[in-house]
Amino acid sequence: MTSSPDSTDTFRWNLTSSISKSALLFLAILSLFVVFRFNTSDVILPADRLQTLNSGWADEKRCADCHEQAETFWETGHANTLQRVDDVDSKELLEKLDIFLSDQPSNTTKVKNHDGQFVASYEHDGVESQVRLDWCLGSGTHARTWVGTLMDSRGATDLLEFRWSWYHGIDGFDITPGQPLKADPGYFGGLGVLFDAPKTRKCLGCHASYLPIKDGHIDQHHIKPGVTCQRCHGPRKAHVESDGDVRDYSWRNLDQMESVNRCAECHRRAEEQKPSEISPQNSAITRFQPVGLVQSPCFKNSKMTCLTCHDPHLSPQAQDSMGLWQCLQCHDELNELHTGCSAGHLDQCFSCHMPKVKMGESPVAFRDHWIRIRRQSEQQP
Amino acid sequence: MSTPSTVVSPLVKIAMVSALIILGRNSIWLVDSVRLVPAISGCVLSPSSAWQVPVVQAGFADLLTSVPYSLYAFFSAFVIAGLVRLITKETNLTALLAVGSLSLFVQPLDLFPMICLLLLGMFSVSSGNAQRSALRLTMILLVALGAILFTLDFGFVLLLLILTLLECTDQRNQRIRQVIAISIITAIAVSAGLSTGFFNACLRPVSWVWLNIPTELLPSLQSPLQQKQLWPSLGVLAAFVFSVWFTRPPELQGEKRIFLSLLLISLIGIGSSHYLLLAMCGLIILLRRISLDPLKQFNHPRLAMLAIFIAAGFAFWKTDKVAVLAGETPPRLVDPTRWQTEGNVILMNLEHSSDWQTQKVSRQYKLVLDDRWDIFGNDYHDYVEVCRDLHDVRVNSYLKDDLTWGGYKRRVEKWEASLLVVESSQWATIRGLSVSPEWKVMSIDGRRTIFGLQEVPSNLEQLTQANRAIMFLEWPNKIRNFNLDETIVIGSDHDARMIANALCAMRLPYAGMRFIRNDFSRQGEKIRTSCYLELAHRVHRHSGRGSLLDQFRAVARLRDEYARGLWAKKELALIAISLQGLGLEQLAIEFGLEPEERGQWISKSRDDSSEQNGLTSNKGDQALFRDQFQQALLSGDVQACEALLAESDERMLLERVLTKSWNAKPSDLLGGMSQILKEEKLGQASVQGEAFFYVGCVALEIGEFEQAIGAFNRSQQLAPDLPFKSIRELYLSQIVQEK
Repeated sequence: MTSSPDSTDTFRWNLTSSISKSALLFLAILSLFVVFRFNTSDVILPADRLQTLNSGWADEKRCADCHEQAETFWETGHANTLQRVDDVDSKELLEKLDIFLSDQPSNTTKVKNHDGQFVASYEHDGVESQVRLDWCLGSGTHARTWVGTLMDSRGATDLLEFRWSWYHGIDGFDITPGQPLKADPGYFGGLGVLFDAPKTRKCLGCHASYLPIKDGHIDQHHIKPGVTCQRCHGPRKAHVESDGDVRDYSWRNLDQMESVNRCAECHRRAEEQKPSEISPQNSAITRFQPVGLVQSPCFKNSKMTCLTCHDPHLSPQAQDSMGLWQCLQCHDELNELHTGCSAGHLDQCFSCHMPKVKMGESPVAFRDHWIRIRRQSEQQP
Repeated sequence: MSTPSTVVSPLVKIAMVSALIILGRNSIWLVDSVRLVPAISGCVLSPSSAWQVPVVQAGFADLLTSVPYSLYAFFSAFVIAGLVRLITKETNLTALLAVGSLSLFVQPLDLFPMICLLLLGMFSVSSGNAQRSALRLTMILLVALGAILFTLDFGFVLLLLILTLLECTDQRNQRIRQVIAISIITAIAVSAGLSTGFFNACLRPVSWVWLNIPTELLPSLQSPLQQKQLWPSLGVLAAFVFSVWFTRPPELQGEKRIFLSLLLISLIGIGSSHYLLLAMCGLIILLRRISLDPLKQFNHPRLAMLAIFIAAGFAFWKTDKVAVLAGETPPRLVDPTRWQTEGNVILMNLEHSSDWQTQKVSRQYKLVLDDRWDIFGNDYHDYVEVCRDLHDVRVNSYLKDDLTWGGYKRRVEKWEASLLVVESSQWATIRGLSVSPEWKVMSIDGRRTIFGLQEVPSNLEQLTQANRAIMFLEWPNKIRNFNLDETIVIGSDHDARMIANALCAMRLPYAGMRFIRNDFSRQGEKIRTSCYLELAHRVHRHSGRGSLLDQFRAVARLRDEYARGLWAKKELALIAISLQGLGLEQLAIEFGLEPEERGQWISKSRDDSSEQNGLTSNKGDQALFRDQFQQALLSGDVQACEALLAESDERMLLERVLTKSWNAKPSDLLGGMSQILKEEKLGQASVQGEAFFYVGCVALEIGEFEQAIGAFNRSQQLAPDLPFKSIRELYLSQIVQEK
């Protein structure tokens, strides 16, 4: 008797047989695909360099082994543009600040050191406001300003820019640029100005080489303060470990505008200012050197970049940044192809074409990089 | 022998089940309407070669753009029933599982592709009659043409068409079918040169793989394995496929083509939830020759039905939804066509492109790009970079690690965008943008929060309206010069929670709480706690010390909710950092504060609890006790507070009320505190002053701004130098507004 397997037997036969090769293959391919999908579903895009420099970071003391620029770099403003509040220079200045403030007629603000924490306080109408100061911004070439960090309800880091700054020009203290002369009302009014998390990131980002930030929260333990070698040249670990064989020329082959834009990331781009603000009469933009520079006939009619006159590896004093040599590169009277001064002057170019301009009422002055023939009325904007 | 009644009735039964499920997914099915054909993609970045669905482009599809939901459900149900009938002729468990899966995931735009697939399945059964075979082939080709004319996913239909043509085992027709299949493939390849738009649209079912489309822009392209809500359906699908595979008839055992076809379709379905439904339909088409019902082998089919019933009940109980199968009520949306503005729109979730592509809306607004990855695939990476920069409010240029420039300003200007649409669930993005000097809120609803560029003059009117409305919600006062309907609309409790969460993220906790006043669901409670935490931070920041009212309520609730497991791990991490900001480092560590985060927010060296006015101003014997009590309140330790109260000899009236405040209704709390103050039993003026300050805060919370003004003023009189002076003045300045 022949019997054809009924449906039950077929089902049992298939179930009881070992798992077929085809089913295994099916599962294997499916699993591989699933792994592929999970790994590729989140698109990884280029990240802010400031958040990635720490991976592949070399010890910057090693740079001087081969590069003489690295020996002088540590004296520059870039290298010293951010310090922790308890760094030597900052501490010294804060102690002077407290003395200065105690001599003020109203005597309402104090800065005291409590076991290594510097706490600024402000008394007004019977209430005392306080904030802990955490960082000192600025190398001191122009000024130094302190900031305190605050946490918001979602863990993001806000900043308080302290009301008082130290100015190199007067070797003393005055109100921080941009802050009102009379303290605003409110808890923080006498202490300074509050910045929200996005602005905090922007502020600290231009004074650091590595800024670990997640969901607005800045990990202050791991900030690498100062604009140092690798902020501009990128992570150099592979370069150091290979004794220089691995090279990555991120600064070569840049066109004029891109070269300026590299500096303008922090020193500000012209195209990101309001058009109405780009005016020779607006002294507020003088602190943003690239903004003025790109308006200059010198820039438009040549291949001039920031590096034409500045070596970022040397301090201004070390490179004779006020020297005539910068202008003579293109305006040498002895060179018949060059344009000279129509007023007949042979030196002191800066005093007419790039004077220092004060920022509002503050003691700090910046050299106006909008190189131009200035009208008589512009000499004192 | 089957009779018409026995043939028809299983189909009708299955269709009924399907229709009920589809109707149940939309609680406003009676009045809602849907679009059955995709809209024309007329975006800012659309190239001229973009393929548009011909019937829509030709203007023949007006009727199909607004079809009553009930009608769509009816047709979908019969199409689903027809598909299921291809593999089983009876109303059995297999059929119900298939119907359930298909009905739960069908979307309006899937209807036409499903009709094409159903017809394909019906016509592709081989017949011995040559004339009928020729007729069937013709019908199949017409189905393909119909797919091209009516749908965007015609590529999937063509793929199934080719697979079914190639699987024909009838020797006579095999060659003809192979020739047709190869011709179709050749025609598609040739179209690449003639019409890149058509070719790209044809490849839609697979092109998302190599285009690597960011799923944050198009969540439906995520694998269903990454979406927990789709796991049950995947499980059903897997069980269906494997059980059928294991019980395939002997004549199909060696067919590699079946294996490869199943694999291909399964990969498409598993790779992207957008195609999960069509992939399931495709599987059904490919398995239509298998009529074995393996699940009949189970001896207790009723047990299986019971298991399904229990699982559905469990899902119903565990979620906040009113009914598992009755999906979320579609959110009511603010109507941007009522605003006197126009412009280009950046949409952060492109799944909602169709909201902006109706005839009415598209007259005023144009999307920068939409969900047509076949058109914009290469633009999405740029777009998502801009969206991420908007999320982080990275306005200006910054250098990236590939030496390109980030920052959204230049690209937003290039696109001439004036509106930005963010999902209302994206609180982090909303929070960041709320402090942007350029983007201001125009509206909030249950689905989206719309921001407008301040510098665009035509946006100004609605920006002003929205600002007035939102500020009024936070700081109610006498002036009411706005129209709320054009700024905030609510359709359901879910909408209200979304809006509350968005407002809380914008640092407007009082405004947020007004929308969840009577919402005691888990999600509602979490949002309320977030609002109290926001208030606690606000008072702490503007006074230098914690509010015994707001901080206590926030932290006590957090402790309770933490014990109940309400908060996800990621949320707890943020809460821990937030608690550290309030000076509660020990509690933050309990909540999971990472070791590297500890010590960053060391509390100020001055002891805030000891030298301030208020409840602690009592010098003398009670000072230590009050300090202890204050610390217990600030750390939200209800048990400690109750223990201290029990120990105390004094009546501690205000402290008793505060201790109960964390789970008391604000109106009851206000009543209790007002009563105590009325009886003037608090003693010191400073204590009364602080109490009046808290009364003012609670009055603000419930919208009684006049009572709040009275309380704050009284607080000012009694305790002019209260530590909360600055914030008290801030509150008063906001709510005392005259015309």
